[in-house]
Amino acid sequence: MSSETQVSTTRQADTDLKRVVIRTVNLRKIYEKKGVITEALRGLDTEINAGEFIAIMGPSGSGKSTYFNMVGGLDSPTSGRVFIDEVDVAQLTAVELAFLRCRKIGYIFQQFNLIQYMTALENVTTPMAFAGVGPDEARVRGMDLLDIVGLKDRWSHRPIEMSGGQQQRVAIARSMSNLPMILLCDEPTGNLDLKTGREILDILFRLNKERGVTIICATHDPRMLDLCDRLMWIRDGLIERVARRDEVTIEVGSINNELE
Amino acid sequence: MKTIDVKNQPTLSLNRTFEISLNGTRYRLFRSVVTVVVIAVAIAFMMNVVCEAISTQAIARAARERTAQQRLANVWSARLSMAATPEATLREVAGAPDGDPLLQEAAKLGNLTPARLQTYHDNAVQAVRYLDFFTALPYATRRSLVHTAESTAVFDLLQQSKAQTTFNDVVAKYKVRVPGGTDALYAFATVWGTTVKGDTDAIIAGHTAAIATLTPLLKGRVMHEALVDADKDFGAQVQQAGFVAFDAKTRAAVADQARQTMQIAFIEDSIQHMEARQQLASRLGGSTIPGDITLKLLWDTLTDRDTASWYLGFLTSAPLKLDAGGLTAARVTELARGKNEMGALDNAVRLTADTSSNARMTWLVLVSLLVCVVGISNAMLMSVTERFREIATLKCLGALDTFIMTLFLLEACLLGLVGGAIGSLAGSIIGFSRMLSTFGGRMLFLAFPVGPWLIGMLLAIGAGVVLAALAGVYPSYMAARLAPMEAMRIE
Repeated sequence: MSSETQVSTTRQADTDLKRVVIRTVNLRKIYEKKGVITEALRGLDTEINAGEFIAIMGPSGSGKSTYFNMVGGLDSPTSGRVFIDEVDVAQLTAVELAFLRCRKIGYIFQQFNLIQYMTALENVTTPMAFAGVGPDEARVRGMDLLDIVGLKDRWSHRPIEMSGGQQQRVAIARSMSNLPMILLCDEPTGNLDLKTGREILDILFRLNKERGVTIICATHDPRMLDLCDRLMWIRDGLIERVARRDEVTIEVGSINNELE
Repeated sequence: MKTIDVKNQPTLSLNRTFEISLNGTRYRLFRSVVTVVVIAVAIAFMMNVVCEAISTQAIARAARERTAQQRLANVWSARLSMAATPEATLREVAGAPDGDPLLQEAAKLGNLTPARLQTYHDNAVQAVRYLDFFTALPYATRRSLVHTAESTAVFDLLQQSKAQTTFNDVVAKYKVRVPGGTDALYAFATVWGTTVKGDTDAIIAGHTAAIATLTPLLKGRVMHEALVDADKDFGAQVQQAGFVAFDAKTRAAVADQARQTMQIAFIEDSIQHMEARQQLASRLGGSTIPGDITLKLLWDTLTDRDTASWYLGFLTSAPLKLDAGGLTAARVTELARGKNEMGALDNAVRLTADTSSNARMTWLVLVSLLVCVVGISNAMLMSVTERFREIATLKCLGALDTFIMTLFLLEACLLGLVGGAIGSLAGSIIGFSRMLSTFGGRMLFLAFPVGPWLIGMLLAIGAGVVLAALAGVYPSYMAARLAPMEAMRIE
């Protein structure tokens, strides 16, 4: 069922860009550790449309990683709501959350977070196994995905035998294994040099344009500006500014200032 | 609000989970080996304690059984030569299980009906319980309670109400715990006076009469010598005289032992002859002089077949011309080896004298189990907590909590199984080799506790698996329940 419906959803998304896949309402998160209270998010209202490539920017400690975790169903908000594809994440049971993480969302982390004892192919096929795909089909699909990220010939390598860029590409292939509608990237180029970072961004851009995957990218990387449809600045747990890319390019100077 | 159709979120098959678990264990081989070693050491410690405890007990039991068997001729020699005391009679009857020939013998000697015998048996058991109680008392308490009364005289004394009053006072004063209470004891004393004492005396009288009928049969020999013929007519006549328990099987064993005793005595007496000593000393050569020949040296020398043959030949020919009574060289060698074994048995009995209480063993096993719990849970906790990030990543990929738990459970069981197997084997080897050096190979071989040892092995491996599983699953359960990002943050 999954692959076909996914394809039809993404096609529909192409025609109707205004369909909202992620919506947050008054999102708040407060961390409390040893009596020190940190307010990471202070009431965020956001909407992200299907097929959008959105970059979330902000200095470290601004709450963008926290926002990212809330949106991905990786952490629970203190108050407020997150809707993913019109489903209220807070209402989900553990099994439903696992289902959501498995099929609707792909994750890419700054530290890659590959499973160290699995080969590249096993890393890519593990989410398929969780989704109930048979081993033979998973193998074929896994090889296709590794081909897309250009690592088909390194399928049997373990993460420790690969460079950072290669690991991140495996992570991208893994995040796409169940053809999710949303890709969440937490500083995907943060641990990489300029050239490999560029390659990763190209792959993400291609996935967005060719497959219509909604991409939400927390980043510091200024090159993201050329690729994304929309930018969102978060500062001190609040949305500072949201802008389309064409609006931003006019004021490049100020943006560069902000990035400094 | 839309709901998610989760029907097709399957749980991963156990097979595949096991594959992943094995894969991970192999990848982290060093860590896994360290964990296995910790588990193995803990289990080995426990198994070592268990092994030593069970083999000591088995050896103690075997040694007592064998020495008891070898005393059979002595026991019968005594029974057939002198009348027993009332206490010995009671103990004998009380210790005999239903259907034992000793009970029939008591019935015949005391002229008791089967029903009366049954009652007597029950009373004897009761009497022995009280006798043991009085024996175990400290001297001062005992003296205050029953003055100088010894053995069954206590029951005679306690029939008097004056004695009972004193007894009550002392019981209250010293807080003595009489088994079954004082009233039951007085009641028994009454029963003792009315029937049990009479029956006991009847049995003893019958016994004395039966012994008297045996005297002409001895033909001037002492009983021990006569028992050499126990498997011949003499034995049957003894049984007819009233000693029902002296049945064919017992007679054969007693005759065998009596013969052995005689043969041993023959060999041992032989070195009283100066000629024999001189011959032996010259055969041994070196600086050995006739005065060095001791019993131990004699028996050691005779374990050699050729020497035994030569020595026997010397004894039976001139100048000594002793009557060896059909003794062969092979038999002499056998006796010499038996002597050495007796030494080992005596040694074992002595060494295991204090193992009768189980409290020490239980305590040791408990302590070693505690060591296991601490060691294993520490090792497993370490290996799970350093993998919180992996758990979080798996959850991001859509793993169910049950999958993560199963993954860690399987891995813990695997480590526990391997560690438990290695540990219990190593513990057994260490335990048994220590026992080997203490008791000697022959003794351990005789009494090797195969059954308890196998059970101990299984229990030790089981303990390894269960402890590892508990210690591994608990932290992974805690981690699996957390949201992925919280689990990652714990690092």
